[in-house]
Amino acid sequence: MKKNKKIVSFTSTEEKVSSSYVIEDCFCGVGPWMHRDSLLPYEAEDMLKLMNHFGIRKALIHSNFALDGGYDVMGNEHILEACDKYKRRFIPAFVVRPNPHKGDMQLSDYFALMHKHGIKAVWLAPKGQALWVWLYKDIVAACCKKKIPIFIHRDDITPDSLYNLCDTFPDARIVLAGVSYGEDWWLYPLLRQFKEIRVCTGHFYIPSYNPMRFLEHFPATRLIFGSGLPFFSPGGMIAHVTYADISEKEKELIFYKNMENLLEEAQP
Amino acid sequence: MNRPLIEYGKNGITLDFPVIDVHAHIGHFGTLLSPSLSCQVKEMDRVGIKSAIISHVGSIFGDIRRGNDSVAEAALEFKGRFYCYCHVSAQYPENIEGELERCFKNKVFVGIKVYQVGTNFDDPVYDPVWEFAVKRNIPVLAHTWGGNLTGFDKVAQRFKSIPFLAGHSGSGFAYKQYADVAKKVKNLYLDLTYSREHTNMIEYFVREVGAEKIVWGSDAPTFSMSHQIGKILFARIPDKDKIKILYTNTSRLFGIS
Repeated sequence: MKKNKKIVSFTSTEEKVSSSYVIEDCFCGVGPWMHRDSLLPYEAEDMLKLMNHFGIRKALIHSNFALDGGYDVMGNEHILEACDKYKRRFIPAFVVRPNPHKGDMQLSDYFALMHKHGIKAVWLAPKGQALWVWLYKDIVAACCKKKIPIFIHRDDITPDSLYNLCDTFPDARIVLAGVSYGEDWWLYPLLRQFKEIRVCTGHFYIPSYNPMRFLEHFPATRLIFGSGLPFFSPGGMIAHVTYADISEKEKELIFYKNMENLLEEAQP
Repeated sequence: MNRPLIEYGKNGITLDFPVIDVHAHIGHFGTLLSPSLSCQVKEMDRVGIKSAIISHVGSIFGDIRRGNDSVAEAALEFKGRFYCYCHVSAQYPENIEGELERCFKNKVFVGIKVYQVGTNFDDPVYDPVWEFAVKRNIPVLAHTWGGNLTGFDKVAQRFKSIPFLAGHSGSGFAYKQYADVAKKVKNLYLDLTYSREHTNMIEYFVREVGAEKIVWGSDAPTFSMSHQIGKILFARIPDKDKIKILYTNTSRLFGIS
């Protein structure tokens, strides 16, 4: 079998954005992970080249390694390094876990580190969809207090577990990523009930007649552009918004202002 | 076309060359309410999609005849915007030949659609479909998934004179399986209709099998057409290859100009 040639090689890491839209990506992973397919890029520089190609100004980045089950301290360190190297393009998000053992990161340690580095977003990665309120309540309560947005992937929740979490913490600023095109049947009722849940477009919240239909039910402030890099290429999702029959103001909100507003309000 | 195709996608500019969507539907999927036909045509206008070849969601779910009638009505209402697949199913073998004969009396039908419903495509029950397609020189589109073509590649090798389009190529990130089959079977084409746009996958397909063997479909109204076309407009492949994928190949295979 032929080895995959490395494809991402023809653009530079220098900022070069030719879109008439400002785009910021809230759903972008960086760094290696266990189950990587050899077709997929992972280095920070690869992400930057792709961002340049697609016209993405900035990305809120999380650790692929930590979200895939690797030790979050190592993953978060990698993210800090990448953000330190490319300050103008990357914004860090930490993976935070309720660790059971003495000597491991505790909630206060995470938040001290986040305060030190100005980290304004967290990802939760409950394995086996174990987003149990009794287990995550301290983390979520702290995030509520500090208005820190909580990112979570659809695969890591059940609609019921998310409902329980939001029912306990209605002020939690949840950004739900990885929602599928066919999930409005439970998503819409949940969004109606909890005003602080936002939906990330990535990777495949692409029902036909969206985002128009979504905006018939909810304000544009609740839809946030995210690509799902490096697993997924952002082109389709960008066109999904640029071609949408919605106002320019709504496109701006979706493409970058919603994420900027969320991060601006966070107080790590 | 007066600028690189990526610029159309970046700025939401209506495409100014013909695009044919080789894999679309009408009708509702369970709880996923589809937009009206006029709304769907409006989206086609906004993006710049000239025509879509459609089958009916109801046919996929078993109400075959009514679905085929509905797509014909849509094509009649929006002339030149919709062409039709006649959907047939191995679960209703007694209706296959009659439904094919009935549909193809109407010129809006230009292809046959089959779905993975439990019977492999190389099962003899499907033979009347392939024989009809060969006799009338009609392309066949199949729903395939995750690199498992359930015999579609085998019948393509048996019936070499007609194009076989493997729907959802790359699904399940099974890009190698699809590319290997397309390289091996001359008359098997990759249809890129798929919700997930894995990084580097389209570039891989073009490099491995060539743009001549790739067609584009949206799967609307399951997915948004704009999302699906965006993955081609932004792909890191030459614009001439994008045009082959979006128009030239389908135009040639289906005789739609």
